[in-house]
Amino acid sequence: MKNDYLWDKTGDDPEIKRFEEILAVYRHTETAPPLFAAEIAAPAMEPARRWRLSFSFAFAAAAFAAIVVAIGISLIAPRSGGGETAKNPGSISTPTIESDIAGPVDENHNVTTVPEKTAVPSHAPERQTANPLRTALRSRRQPALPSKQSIAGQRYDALTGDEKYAYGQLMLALSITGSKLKVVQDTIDRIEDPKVKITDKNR
Amino acid sequence: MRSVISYSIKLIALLVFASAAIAVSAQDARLHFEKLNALETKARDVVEVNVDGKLLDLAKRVTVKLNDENSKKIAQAISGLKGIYVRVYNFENENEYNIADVEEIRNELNAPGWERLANVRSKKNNQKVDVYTMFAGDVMSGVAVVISDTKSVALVNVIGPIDIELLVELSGKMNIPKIDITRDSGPAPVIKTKNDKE
Repeated sequence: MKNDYLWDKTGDDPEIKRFEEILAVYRHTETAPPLFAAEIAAPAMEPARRWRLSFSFAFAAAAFAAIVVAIGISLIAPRSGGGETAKNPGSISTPTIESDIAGPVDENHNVTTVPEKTAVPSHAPERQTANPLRTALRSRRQPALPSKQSIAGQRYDALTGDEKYAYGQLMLALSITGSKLKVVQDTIDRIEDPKVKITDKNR
Repeated sequence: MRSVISYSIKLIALLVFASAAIAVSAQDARLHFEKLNALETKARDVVEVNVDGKLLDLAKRVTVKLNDENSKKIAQAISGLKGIYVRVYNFENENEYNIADVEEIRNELNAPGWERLANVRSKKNNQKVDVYTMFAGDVMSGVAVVISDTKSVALVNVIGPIDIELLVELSGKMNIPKIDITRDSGPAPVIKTKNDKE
């Protein structure tokens, strides 16, 4: 056997050639590299994926079309007259919260606990116009300013329980004091009235 | 040297005397409402409010914290306040309490230091209205209001200066009843108060 043919195919070696011909069926042939699992699995799921893609595109397209149509209608639709005019821009529809604070004293010197209503501002003022889109844009530009009462209410809500109790007790005491001073004031005013007949045992 | 020492001793004595006088006057402004414990058992309704010490300090901080217009005014009105005590007793029937218990409180107001501001008596319902003030120099150190009739007794004792004008201004707001200082234009009969309307 000549080594030259076996290594670089130079020369002639009939026996090696015969082996090459016999074993040619087993010769390695280079093919494409193996696919990853997702690429292998993709063809199996392809029909469902295609269906999902088509549905999502259709939905997006329909939504986009609806938005465009809505914008077009809102821009094209004529504005109404005085019937649907905007409400008072300053009005804010607000829920109210209640907090118990000492109330005034009635005629029987019974101190009533009167819930004090404080307003909590909403996110935006309510307007009734024919253009809801413009209304929404306008409300974003001009956020509603909370009223002074709502600020006080929020600050009162931020108080602790002890603080609320102390403040309530103080207001109760001041309330009763004010009511009693009112009784005194009314009595003195009537005394000073010359039409009033004074009955004073001490005189 | 001796003159300096003697002068210092006199000054210290004067300061001690002045501080003692102030302390005594502040203490005297407090009425002893514990004498009215007997009324509590007989009364139909009892209102007892004591705001002093740390509770009052906390309430003052709250008025500052709220930081709205009315709270600022209230804070200003009570800035020097040291205590406020309220007792209100309502009875089911007339003459159900011992008048002597209330007269003990009125006797305290006859002590030195108290100045009578108003004293009204009415035959109807046997109403008695008394308002006293106490001053430490030019500074108000106490206010006392005692109102009694056949079916109710009300006492208010304020220790320290309180701005009554601001209280009048704030009346009607912050649930403080409005104090009307204008005269009634209509004809007025014998002295009538709210209780006479019952």
